[in-house]
Amino acid sequence: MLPARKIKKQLLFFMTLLIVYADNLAVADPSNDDVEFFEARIRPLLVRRCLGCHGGEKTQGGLRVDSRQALMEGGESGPAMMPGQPDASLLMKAVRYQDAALQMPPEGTLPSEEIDLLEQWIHRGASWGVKTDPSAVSLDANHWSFLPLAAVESPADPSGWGTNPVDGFIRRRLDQQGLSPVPLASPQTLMRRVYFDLVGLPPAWHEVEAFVENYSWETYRQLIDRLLESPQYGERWGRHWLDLARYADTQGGSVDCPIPQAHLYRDYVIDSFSADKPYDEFIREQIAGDLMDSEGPPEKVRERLIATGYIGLSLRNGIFKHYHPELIIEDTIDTIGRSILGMTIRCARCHDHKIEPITTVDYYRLYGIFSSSRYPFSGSELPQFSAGESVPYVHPEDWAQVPLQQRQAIEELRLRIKQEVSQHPAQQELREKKARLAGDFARYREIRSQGEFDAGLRTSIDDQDVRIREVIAKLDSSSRGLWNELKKMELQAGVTRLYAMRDENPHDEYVQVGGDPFDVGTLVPRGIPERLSKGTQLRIPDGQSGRLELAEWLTSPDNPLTPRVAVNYVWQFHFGQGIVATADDFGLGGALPTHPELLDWLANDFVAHGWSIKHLHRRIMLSSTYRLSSLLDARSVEIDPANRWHWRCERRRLDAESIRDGMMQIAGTLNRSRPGGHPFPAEESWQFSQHGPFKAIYESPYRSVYLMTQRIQRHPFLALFDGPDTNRTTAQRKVSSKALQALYLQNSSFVHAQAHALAEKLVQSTSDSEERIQQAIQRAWSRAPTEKEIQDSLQYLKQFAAQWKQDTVDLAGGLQTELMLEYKFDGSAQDSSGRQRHGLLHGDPTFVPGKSGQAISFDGEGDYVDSGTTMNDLGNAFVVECWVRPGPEQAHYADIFGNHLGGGRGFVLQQNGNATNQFRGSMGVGGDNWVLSEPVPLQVNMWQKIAFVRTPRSLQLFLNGKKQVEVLSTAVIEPSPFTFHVGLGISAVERSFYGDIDDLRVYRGIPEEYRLEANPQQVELVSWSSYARLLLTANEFLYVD
Amino acid sequence: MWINEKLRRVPSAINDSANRRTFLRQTAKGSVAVACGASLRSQLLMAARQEGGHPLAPVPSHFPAGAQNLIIVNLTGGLSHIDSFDYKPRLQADHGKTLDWRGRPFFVNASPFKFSPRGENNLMVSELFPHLGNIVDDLAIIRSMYNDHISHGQATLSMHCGLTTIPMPSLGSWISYGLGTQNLDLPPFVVLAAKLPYMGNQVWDSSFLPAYHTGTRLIPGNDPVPYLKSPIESVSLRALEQAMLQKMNQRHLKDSQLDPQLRARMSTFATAAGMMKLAPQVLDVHSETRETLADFGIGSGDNQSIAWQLLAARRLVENGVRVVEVVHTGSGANWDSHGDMQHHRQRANDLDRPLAALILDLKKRGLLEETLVVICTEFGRAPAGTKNEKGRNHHNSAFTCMLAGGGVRAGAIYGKSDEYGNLVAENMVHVHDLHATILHLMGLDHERLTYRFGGRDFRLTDVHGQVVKQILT
Repeated sequence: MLPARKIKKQLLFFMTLLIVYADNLAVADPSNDDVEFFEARIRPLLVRRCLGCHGGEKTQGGLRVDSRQALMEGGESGPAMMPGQPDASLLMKAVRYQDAALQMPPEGTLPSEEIDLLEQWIHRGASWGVKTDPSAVSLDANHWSFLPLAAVESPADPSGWGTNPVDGFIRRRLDQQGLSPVPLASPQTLMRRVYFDLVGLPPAWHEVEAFVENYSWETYRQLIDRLLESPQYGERWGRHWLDLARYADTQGGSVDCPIPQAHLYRDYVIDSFSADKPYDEFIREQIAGDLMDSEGPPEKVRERLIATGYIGLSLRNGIFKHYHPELIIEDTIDTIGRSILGMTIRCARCHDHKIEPITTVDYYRLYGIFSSSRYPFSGSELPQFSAGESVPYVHPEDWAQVPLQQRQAIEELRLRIKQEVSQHPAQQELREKKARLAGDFARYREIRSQGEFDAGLRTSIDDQDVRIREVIAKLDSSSRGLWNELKKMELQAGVTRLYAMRDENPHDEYVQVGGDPFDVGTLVPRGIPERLSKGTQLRIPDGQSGRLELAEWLTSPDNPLTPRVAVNYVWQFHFGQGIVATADDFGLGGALPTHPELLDWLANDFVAHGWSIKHLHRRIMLSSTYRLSSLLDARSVEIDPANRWHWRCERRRLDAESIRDGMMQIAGTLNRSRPGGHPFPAEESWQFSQHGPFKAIYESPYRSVYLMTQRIQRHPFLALFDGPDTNRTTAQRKVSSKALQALYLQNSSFVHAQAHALAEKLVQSTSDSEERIQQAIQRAWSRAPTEKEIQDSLQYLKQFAAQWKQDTVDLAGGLQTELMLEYKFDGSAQDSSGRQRHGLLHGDPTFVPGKSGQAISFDGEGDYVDSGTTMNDLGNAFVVECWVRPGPEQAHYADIFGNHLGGGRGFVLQQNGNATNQFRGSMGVGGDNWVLSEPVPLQVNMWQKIAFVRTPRSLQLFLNGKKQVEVLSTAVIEPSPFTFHVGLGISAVERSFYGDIDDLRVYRGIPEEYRLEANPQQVELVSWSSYARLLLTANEFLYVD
Repeated sequence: MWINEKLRRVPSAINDSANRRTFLRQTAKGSVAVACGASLRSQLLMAARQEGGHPLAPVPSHFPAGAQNLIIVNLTGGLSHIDSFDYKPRLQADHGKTLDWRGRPFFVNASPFKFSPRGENNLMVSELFPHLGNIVDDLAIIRSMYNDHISHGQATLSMHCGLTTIPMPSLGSWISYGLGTQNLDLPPFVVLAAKLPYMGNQVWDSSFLPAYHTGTRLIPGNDPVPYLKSPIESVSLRALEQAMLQKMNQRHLKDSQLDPQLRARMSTFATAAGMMKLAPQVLDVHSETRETLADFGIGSGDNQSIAWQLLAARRLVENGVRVVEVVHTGSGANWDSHGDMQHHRQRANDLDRPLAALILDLKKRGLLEETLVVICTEFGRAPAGTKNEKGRNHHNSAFTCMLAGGGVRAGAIYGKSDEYGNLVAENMVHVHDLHATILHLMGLDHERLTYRFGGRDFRLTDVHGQVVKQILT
């Protein structure tokens, strides 16, 4: 720092002291409440929102906000704040954005809550706290979350409102804020809330009925116990952890290779929640499960190996194996920091953390632990397979059962792979390249140590790094065949490959200056951030990475963050917001707890009860706080719009998984079993690259937690409804209301299919419409309908059916049909429709006895009939029908009739270009685009009546009066310049029809026999399906009270 | 998450959305029929503002700017700078020679394409781009771009999201967040992509920004907008359904009048209805005049070619979409001409004419002043490789990007690569600088456009970025 700046800073310090003094004089006896209010609410706000520009050495507009005095004096625009007069204070004008010339903060308005707080504060006289410089907060050595858990007692609640210790804390705050809680929720509402909360599914109606009827404290407690024991609980709460663990079924990077074993980690998480595994053990297993094997039975070994998937799933980069290890480890550290410690640590990779007491040295303490560990690898572009970078596991007893010969064969093959790779000619190349890099690296370090920089050398080092990776990939790829063989043999012997961590080459790491792995600073011993260690560093035995010691420290009594953060996450998932609003950031930059005593009480209670999450659920859910209704109270909304003090229960939109699972559960289409792995292509076939990365979306009847999720593309449904980010910890899901969501709800085949399934159930269960409505609302909304709702619903169903029938008539071009052409083929191709569209015979067709009278017979060698007219006057509702008796085989694309000539114009009924005597309809919609139907097989040498039916909503083929295939399309047929032909393919000779045709008719409009849509059963099903869909897309389904 | 807070503050504003929406839809409909001029734009703007609490309502820019909308044309795979707009006589002259470059042999490969002087400044443009050559005076060309990574994935990621390493919010998402949209019946950020680009949809993801700002991918062809078509094709049936849903939601709302989130959800169905009506009209490029279609080279029935996409892009921004990215062509069969530079020819044949037509068309309609067009690629191609190699490798240490339209100084040539097009010789422009410049042209200060996440304020340009002032008007 320049001396001049130093002096300035010291001056500021003295001035600050003066202001403390002045302040104490100026504010007459501020009440404790006011000071507390300032400390808890205003100071953090000023630090976060204003101090960046209006404090310390930077004072934009001459204004400083780091003391009461400074605010009153103001800056260039005049006094910023007048105690007691918010409306007269410039500060308020600025934050309210009232004046276009003065809007603060410039990047956007503050949350209304914070504006209200400022207003309240000025109104109350703008008391200042004990410390004058708000930035002192960030220098505070005793930041609240680093302090040990406080032993606190729950305050007494004389009102009798509370039912457990949680309520005492909540009630006290409510009273302090002048708020009173709304009434408790009805048993019915509570039931739905508890179900979605604990299992992510709606309750069955009979359960609701039974619960409501026998509602008592005891039945409520039983309900919670029952749901906590159900397998769906693990699926629901495991998902919360998977959000934090940035779970995905692929590796990330440019290639995004599948991780076929990732689902084992997913299932491990689900099972751990189901089994109520102590949270500390859960954490230890995930960090260092592979190092804990001395602790339990052999079954545990596999489970704990799988647990390390938490680390193994770190985001990958680029196209090489373990490319940019510094970034893989950065993701590990960021994930541990935010999901377990509630600390943002990643910033310290390149520089000392700007806000938190974490230095780069601290960062590389942690870094060394993970660079002393080997990450698994599933494949990339170079190489395109896992190259044995996974941990083989087999239960020792099972292994003992494998015949010795087989075991030996496996061992031998493993050895052979090692040998072949080590004797590969490219090893020499690798050694040379590595030696050259080592030399250049040393030279570069030398240059850097003199404070110089050589850009060319630096670029060359990066380039060499890439070249070396290419050689490694060459070596790996050379063994791919053997690996495939080994994998087969291992599988037969019961050996599975796990995506797990191992220790490798334990060593300390150098600080990477500016985050550059080739720009090294000092060597630092492995350990934890100094500030969190409280002077006691990890003791890492020689030859170990330190993951085990890190795991132990994370869950030790020395570290109050882990239980605080865990308890807060659970609270947040129950209520929608945490006691600490920034659930992944308990540091100096994070929010302060609204109820610090409650947080510590819960954390102590949690640890005291064996780190049991289920115990924590009971603590929270058996409170009155949890059971509050979601009613809004105008007065309370004024005081606390964000409901930070829990005067009500927040109404919440279902998350993505609950929407999908809930709909399927209601429709009866959900398969509640566990599917296992995903149908990935076999690893042997992988050829994924950055140009052709792995991309797939798998349909699934199972719960959404089992959907395959990728990193390079989000699952479209989960992404649409604010699902988790698979590339980093999602601490709290956002909730958005987007038109695209409405489009999905209204138009997607998924929602339509669920509604259809529900409608079928309703229609089958009873013929009584009122009863159906009862059932529908009970299923979808977990309540009984009102009489008014039943009447409205009945009316809707009636209207819908009537409109559907009317539309069917309208869409068929009205009730009128017109005969546009008729060839009876009784000895000629005369048109008997009266329109004079007589056909001209080509080739040498003959007339044979037909279906009625005679029929025309084509030999398949160029016979056809030309109508001489384009038939472009049929509109978009017409039918072409005829009797046909096909010969034993057909040329590809032989036409029965049509007016097309390629180019996406006209229509045709033609052979499908594949199996013989399969015919499909198609219509050209311009630009060589075709709407194609599925093919219909015709019987050889038999008369059958085929009809090409075009409605404005579809293209259908009828066979003998029955609809065979239908393709929905509202596209318009592009007019054809070609005339309507019978029996002719696109090039006459090769593609002409072989067989007999009789009584061909063309109608404009749809004759009665082809208007199937109006049949009563269909109308009924369609109407109920529409109704069911509305129930599933209504707010009452999408929100939980 | 101040946007949610904003919603909370003005629950009543949403009540008026029906009127506003009718108005918007009417005006928007009008805009499909007639060219959308500045006056309609301001009407749309006003109307959207009435929505007040809507999270996508227009937000004032940091300072007045020419460009209101952005069209990004992304040439995936790496457009060769030295075969297009960065002519290197020395490279041509030294073809086949071996130079020493930091101890490694360097085989010079000349461009196989002919260059000729184009425009007022006689700028050398290769034969690959005859039409862009015609309008070269409308472009600002940066010939000193560099990117941090030599692989497609990382380079593409940084071109969109700033960092080569972790996926961050996309440029389009940042602009949507910074400025909001001008037409609530269309998404604020649209990506036309027949095939996914490198790194998939991460390149238009909003990441930690609110999900409204995620790019909406349209897949050129018969069914471009996901879920836009209703399986219930009868308008009267749909109206019946809408009314019944409204009835159900109104009843549900009865006890929750103060809850803005329920109303917000209800309003999404109105927007969706607007989109279902408007989007097909906007994307129906065949309602353009015969001349326009001919200029772009769009044949009858074409609803997916790159020409179609570029015209659709114009119609989207004209109708209030803030950012449109056109991905040409995706992660395969693209500009990545390793095997033979002649592969550039097919790509250029497809793109050159409609891209030039787009710029001329915007100009003709007076829209170029308020539309920024950015033509970019993730990196260039190497001037040297193995001897007599026909293709070229990736090259991130010097390449070319071009800008045109609002606030851009037409005809500007900025920066210089060395005599082989190997390294930047003058005025280096990093991807962060390009981003800073794009944001600047949109009226946004890249240092002030921040979002708080995970304990710190994030920016598109991280802690870097300098506006390239020399290419501004």
